[in-house]
Amino acid sequence: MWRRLRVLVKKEFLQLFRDIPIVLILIWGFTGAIYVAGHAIDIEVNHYPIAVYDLDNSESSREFLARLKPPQFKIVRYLEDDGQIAQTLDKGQASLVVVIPPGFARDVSAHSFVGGGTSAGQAQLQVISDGTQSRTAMLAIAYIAMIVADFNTDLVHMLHGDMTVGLPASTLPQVNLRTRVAFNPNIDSAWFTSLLEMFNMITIVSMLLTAAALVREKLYNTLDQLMVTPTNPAELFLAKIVPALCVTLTLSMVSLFAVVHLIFDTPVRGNLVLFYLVSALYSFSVASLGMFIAVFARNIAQAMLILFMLLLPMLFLSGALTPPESMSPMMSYASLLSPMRYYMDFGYQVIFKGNGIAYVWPDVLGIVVFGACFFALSLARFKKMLA
Amino acid sequence: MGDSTAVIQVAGLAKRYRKTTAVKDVSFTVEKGQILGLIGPDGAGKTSVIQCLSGVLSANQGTLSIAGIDCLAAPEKIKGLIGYMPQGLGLNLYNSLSVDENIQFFRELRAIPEEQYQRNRERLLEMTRLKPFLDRPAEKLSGGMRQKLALICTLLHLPDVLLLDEPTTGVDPISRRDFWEIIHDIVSERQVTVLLSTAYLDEAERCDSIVMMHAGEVIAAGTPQELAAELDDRVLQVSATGPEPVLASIREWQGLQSLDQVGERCRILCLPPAAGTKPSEAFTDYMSSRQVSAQALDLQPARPSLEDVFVAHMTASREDASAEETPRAVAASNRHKNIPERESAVTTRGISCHFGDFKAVDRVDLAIDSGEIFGLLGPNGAGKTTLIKMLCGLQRITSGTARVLGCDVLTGKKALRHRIGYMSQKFSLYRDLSARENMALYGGLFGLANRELEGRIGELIGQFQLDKFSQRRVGSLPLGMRQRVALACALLHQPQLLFLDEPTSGVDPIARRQFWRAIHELTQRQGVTVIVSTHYMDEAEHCHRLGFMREGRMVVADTPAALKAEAVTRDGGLIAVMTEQFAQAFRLLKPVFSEAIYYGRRIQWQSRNMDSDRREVEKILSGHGIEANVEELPLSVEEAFVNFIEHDSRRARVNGETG
Amino acid sequence: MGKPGSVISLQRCRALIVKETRELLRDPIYLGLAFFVPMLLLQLFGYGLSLDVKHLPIVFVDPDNNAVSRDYIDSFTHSEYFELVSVTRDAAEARDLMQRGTARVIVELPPDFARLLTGGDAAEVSVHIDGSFPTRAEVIESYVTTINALYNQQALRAYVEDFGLNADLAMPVELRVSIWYNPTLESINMIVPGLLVLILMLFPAILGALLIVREKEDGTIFNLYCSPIARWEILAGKAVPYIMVSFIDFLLIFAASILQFGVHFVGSFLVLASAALLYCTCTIGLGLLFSILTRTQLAAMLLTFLLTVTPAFNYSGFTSPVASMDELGRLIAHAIPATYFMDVVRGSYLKRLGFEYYAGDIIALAIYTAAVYGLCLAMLKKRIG
Repeated sequence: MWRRLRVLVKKEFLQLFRDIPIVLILIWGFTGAIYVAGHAIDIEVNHYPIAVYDLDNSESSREFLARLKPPQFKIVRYLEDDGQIAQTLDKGQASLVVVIPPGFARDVSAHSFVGGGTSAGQAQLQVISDGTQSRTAMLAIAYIAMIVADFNTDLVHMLHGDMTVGLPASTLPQVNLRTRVAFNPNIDSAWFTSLLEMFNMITIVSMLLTAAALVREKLYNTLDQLMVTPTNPAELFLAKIVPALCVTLTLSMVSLFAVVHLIFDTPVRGNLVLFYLVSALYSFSVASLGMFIAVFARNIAQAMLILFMLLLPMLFLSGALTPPESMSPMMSYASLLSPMRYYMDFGYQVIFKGNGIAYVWPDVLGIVVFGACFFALSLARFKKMLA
Repeated sequence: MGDSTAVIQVAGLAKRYRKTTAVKDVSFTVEKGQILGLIGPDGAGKTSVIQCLSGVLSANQGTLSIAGIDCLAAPEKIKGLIGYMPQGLGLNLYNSLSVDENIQFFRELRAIPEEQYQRNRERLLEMTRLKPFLDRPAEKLSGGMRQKLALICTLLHLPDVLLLDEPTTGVDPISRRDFWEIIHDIVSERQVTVLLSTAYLDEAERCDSIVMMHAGEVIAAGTPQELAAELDDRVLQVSATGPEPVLASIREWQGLQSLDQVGERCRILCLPPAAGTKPSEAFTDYMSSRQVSAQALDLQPARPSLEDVFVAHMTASREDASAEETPRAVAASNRHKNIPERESAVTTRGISCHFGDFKAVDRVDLAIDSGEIFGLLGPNGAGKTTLIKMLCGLQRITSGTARVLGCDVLTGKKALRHRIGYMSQKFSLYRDLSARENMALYGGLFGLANRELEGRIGELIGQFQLDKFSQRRVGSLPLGMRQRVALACALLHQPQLLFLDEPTSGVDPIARRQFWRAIHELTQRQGVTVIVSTHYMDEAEHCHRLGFMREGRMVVADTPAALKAEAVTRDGGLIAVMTEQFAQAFRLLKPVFSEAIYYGRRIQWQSRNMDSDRREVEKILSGHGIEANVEELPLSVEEAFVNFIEHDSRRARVNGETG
Repeated sequence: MGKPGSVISLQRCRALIVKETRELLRDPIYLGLAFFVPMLLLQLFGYGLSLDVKHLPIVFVDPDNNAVSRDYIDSFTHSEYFELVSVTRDAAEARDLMQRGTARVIVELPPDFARLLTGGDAAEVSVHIDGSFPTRAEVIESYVTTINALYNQQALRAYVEDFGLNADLAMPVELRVSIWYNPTLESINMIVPGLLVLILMLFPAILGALLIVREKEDGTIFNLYCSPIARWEILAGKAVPYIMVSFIDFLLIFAASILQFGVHFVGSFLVLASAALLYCTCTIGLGLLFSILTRTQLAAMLLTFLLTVTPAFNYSGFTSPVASMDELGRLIAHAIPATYFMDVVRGSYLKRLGFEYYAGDIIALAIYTAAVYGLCLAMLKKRIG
């Protein structure tokens, strides 16, 4: 049995490595493509393009504008008349316009807690936001509001902190935040996206390689020839999966260290043995799914299309586009059907958080259950096809 | 315009691929309305020549033109003139489209005017008898039907030039006859120029001229008669029923170039004689020196066939002249497996295989003794492949029982696998692996230890002359070479029972001879049983017994001699008309003798009234000033086969109508 | 000879179109991928995806545990953005909750929180955010700081009031926000048009990528090589049915976006439809290009996945605006057609603008398309070897 499995696996490897274009594409997929994906910025309010229409042009207004700084904001344009506001937003040159009305500095300095009416001594600051990209717009507004609040607090300190109204000097009650982002201190989205792309590649390559290898055998009638030898379906099945598994694991090691870790500085905190063991398990499950598809497909084109039919919803549902918290109940139930969801959760936990099996076992269980189902189902179909 | 009649002109054509030279310096011309046959062993470069002419392959050197247009400089201009059919059964068809839709696609692709299209389509559908199947998807057609549909699609736009790459390989004899009738019709009607390559030399005989290629070069060219004339006196026939030492003596004769044993006769090709001597005399002298008389041998001169020409050229130009004798080496190294004599190898009782309503195999009873060579013949789609697959355990059995080598096919499947070898009809090795790698894979699967495996591979590579090709990817090998590799793979584990499904499809005559010699060795020396299906009727003569199948049923199973005798009893002997103007003669005779068909260049049919028919023929032909030689010939397996199949289908039709 | 010349070349094109359409209609898998899966994704995301992150699990470490600290905690938990997991005294326990993923943010109050604040002092609160999902981390950070800032203003007012001052008075600067185009900031208005762009990028490219390489692998490509059909006719014949299919997809998605999801559409349908047609042509062309460049369907598929699916997800501006990217990012973004079409789609749905605003994008898309087909034409050889 082992000898037969060995010759079969060797054959699969020979065939794989002989297909030079595929080898090149695979290498690119696990290196270049991951670099490209990692390079994409997934953070939204990042150099958010804003335009400024400063009608006051005073020290105060400049002081405020100075707070609209990178990495969140980037002032791309100073407007000169009212008409330009609409124009800038329409064309999408800037996504937010800050209008500082004339008399801003005057109003600010006239501020008093003592005076009677609200209208006196309150400076107006207008923000016009492009709401098309709703979530980003919301975040940007929140940032601006925060900046304004800070600006106000500072102004109160400056204007009234000198006891003119009888407040104690120097301090005011205030909660200062010391925010630390755990696991990814600078919210570097490359850490996330490069790993995501690697997970994607592991999924797609495991599935595609096995499915293509089996459909090819069907098309070229090589299965009949194999089935008259003493080999059995289980051996054939494993022989198809093993190379895909080895290739994806090896290449994912390359990408994890050479690209994800070396180029993007992503920390690899968890136990790599655990990571690769479960990755192998995952690769095995999706490869089984690939086999299942190949058993049904009548030609390579069909196999490829069925694969994408399953793969795209799997990717969409994996939680890559949205954190599980943002899914509606219906969708988060649907996402339980995507094996990729478990694997992604597992992968990020192990690599970012350094979690051990005590933390990730539910994910591993999910992968095992899916793997067992896919394997049993596709092996049964495969046997039936050969019988 | 220059030479107005030469439609295809090839001069000094050379084509190199990265490592190999496919074609070097090939030149020939084809006149308008002529059929040129391109023959040669596998890998001679025929396909490359055809592809260069059709404008899909660039050449390294030389000039090619069709109707005065340069194929290399202006490939797009010739594409309206040509019809090209690539190698492989209906490879140019779209599987999910129906017959009708495939035809429509080619019609529009070629922008054929409505009126011409309608006329042509009707005509071609009638000729190919595909009309009842218009709505059937192409993937559900049998091989022969696919090929005919492919031909319709190639001919639909009335091309002036036809380029056909092994159009009849894998096609059953009856469909091949249809195929050739179509070709002859369009040539005589429209003066179409045809260039075709073929592995069937009887087909090549009916070409107007022949170009024989070997290793990328033209080694002989001329009309079939001219080529055959070179061999005048050099072909002899003797009885093969004599004792083994007689045959051994013949093999040792110095003047022997090649010996081919077919059924009860031996065909001897003599080496070119010294000036002034006759080979037959030299042979008689030699044999009498061995105390064998010409009478005992039943020595007769034979008319040289194109196959003899091919063999003469190839064995002369082969580097390894001793290759012919290699099979014996294999026998010596074989571990003999003892099987009791005359044990039954295969017994089936009423086995059937149904696919829905379709009965692929319908209640077949079969008893094949061990050590027997059993041939399965039948039109494409008759159920041969399904039957073989059922016996190998690859196809489920709907009803009935089958025992193979004493085991039940269903329950003893695992144990049987070590003892049977199978070579499937469609080429089924890994194309991206080399011959050696393929063999190592199968050897490994059969559990051969490394040392033993290496030895076996070496032996088989030697036996099938694969040395030069063993490192090349199988996918890049020519068809015939691939088949040899496939057979080698099936033999690695020394099976007791060998199932060969059209093993020689597309293989050149010499390779086929070697192939059959190897089969004989296996049966004679090791008692291996062979069940083989084939479309080469001459090969059927090699079999001990033949089974004719049609529409899933075994019509008859008996020895070749008995089958021929029965066919003669039923429909009379074979009348053959041989003439230079065979096409014209055929048109004259066909209305009178509706069963008349081409075989090579001769026209033949079975006749119950031999003498009166003969007179009738002579009267008709001499009335048109055609000189012809009319004689009665012994029936070959092919005629017997056609007789049985047509008889059976007539009977089925009658039964169908009454019931 | 009376041979049909190249004059009636449209007929040859039609031959291919008819053939491709027949093959497409006959294969349930093709149909499924062309129509069913795109609509399925639209349903899943249209209904299921809410980009407004809410109910984030939060943990407080509150060793102080008195009215002031609870007040501070309440300011978080009273919003719908956070959902309280627990309040603990033990920082280690909180860390573990985050490690498990049960909590996404920890707010750790100092032991003397109340004393500092009531004494008019600044208290320092540590916030730990789970950064494994960057967009989420970003959102959490903005929520936390906003809520904290609001709390501070309140605290300041209360403090000022304590000193007998008028606490109703406003802060020096008042922010007035007006939101254009999508005043309610409903995310459906952003998601559905974004999906339109993504779907019309992925599916046409995948379908197109098989068109030629499949015939290469099957051997039927010889029919085309050996007939007088011109190369542009091959391209057109192959592309047209699939452009139609993609355009039908566009119409379906568009109809669903308006009728089913109620997305506002204020622009010109004509402009959007013509840009969509151009875009479909372009994405089919990309698929065709991969099909021409590869020899096996497997290679074509892998290449398509790498060169269209991944970049479309990351760079088309579906989630993050292209303007936020750096030089290389913007370069990549402009190398995929989705970026240009995204501008037109987002604008057409929500901005009431004239054609001239999209002219740049549409021209860029047209040039892109022309380049893709030009490349196809250059690479497509009616030859083997």
